[in-house]
Amino acid sequence: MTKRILIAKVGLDGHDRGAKVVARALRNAGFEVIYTGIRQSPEQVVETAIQEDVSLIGLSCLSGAHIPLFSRVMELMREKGVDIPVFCGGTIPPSDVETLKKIGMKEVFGPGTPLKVIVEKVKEWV
Amino acid sequence: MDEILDKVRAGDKVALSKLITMMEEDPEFRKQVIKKIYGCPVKGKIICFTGPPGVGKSTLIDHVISILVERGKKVGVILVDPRSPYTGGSLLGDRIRMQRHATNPNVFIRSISCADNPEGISRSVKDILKVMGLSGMDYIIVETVGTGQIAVEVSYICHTTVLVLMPNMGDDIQMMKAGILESADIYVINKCDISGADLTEAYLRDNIEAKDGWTPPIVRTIGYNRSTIVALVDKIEEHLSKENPRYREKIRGLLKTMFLDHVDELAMQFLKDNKEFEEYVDKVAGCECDYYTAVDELFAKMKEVFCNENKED
Repeated sequence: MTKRILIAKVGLDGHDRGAKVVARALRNAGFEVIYTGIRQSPEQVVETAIQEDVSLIGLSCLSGAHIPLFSRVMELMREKGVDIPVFCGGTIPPSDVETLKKIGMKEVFGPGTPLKVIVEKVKEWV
Repeated sequence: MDEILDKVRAGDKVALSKLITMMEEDPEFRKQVIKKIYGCPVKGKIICFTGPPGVGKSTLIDHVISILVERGKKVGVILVDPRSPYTGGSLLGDRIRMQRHATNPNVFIRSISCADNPEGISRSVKDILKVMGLSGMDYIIVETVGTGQIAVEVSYICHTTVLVLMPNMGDDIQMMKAGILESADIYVINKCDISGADLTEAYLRDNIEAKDGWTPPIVRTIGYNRSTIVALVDKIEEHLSKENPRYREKIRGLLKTMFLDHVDELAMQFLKDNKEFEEYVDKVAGCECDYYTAVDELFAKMKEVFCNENKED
């Protein structure tokens, strides 16, 4: 069965070129990709992940609010009792990478990451 | 299995979601679930939205959900999008139009990918509809893959079929063609704010006929104008409330297709890795034998095998 992946954009941020490119790369790699569209709340993302029963979540944020937003996503998942691996990307300063990994991000893909790298990592995880 | 089914009956969304995944993953499990729940009373009425890609099905469904929820209903939604025949991957994007309902406790939305099935719905959808009905939804909305001219099977699986069209889709000859245009209970012309809607409606009106005391209405909508969609929901509820003499017949038709699907699967299983079958394929490919003869001979062999199996029983 094809693995399902949720690509989600959290927060007040309309820059979704990166999320769409990643979604398409994963589709071409044979995954079932569900894309939420822009400006989603952490609540919407977690609820969508539950209803779609995905194996992996990719979060994208280019607004600078990645730490509070991604933390909230992780917190909600704990509250709801689901445990889905999460990776993220966007314009994230290198100094934040460690913090994000601490809150549970499997990987942080910054600008310029080759798609091949993302696809290979994702295949490792699911 | 009993445990998860009980949870689904109690309205547990996580359990429902997991159950759907398990049914999609494993046809054998799916079979067991259906054997278990078949015949249980379900109250969910099934509404199907079909029509060509890009006419606004998802956007309309978004409004229909919000109107139904305001009327105090619980709504389940199944969105079907195509799966790539080349890579097996898919991008399920219908959901984007209805994300505002993601956190509503009375709404459950699930996207499903569908392989090469010209009918626009995947085989497992019919089974998944049954378990969604189990979870206490008042309405279950199905959105098909954008479909062309022949997708009438959907009208068998639901109580009400809504066909969504838009202006400037072709002349009256297009509307006269047989198939999907005959199958709907309600017709919608969406994007009515662009020119050409009057002509489309006129062509359509000329070509739809009353069946069993129901004259399929034509509803004009504008995707960004919610008030135009209230009329559509009223029509849907009106159609659902009517005693539909064709419904029994439709259900019988559906069961027949499901039955045939299953026979189809059994035949596939029989032929899979079957040496003789492969030999026949080689023969046909090498022009030693035509494919009608090959199928006739194979079918005779299959009958023999099945009859012998029965004797052993």
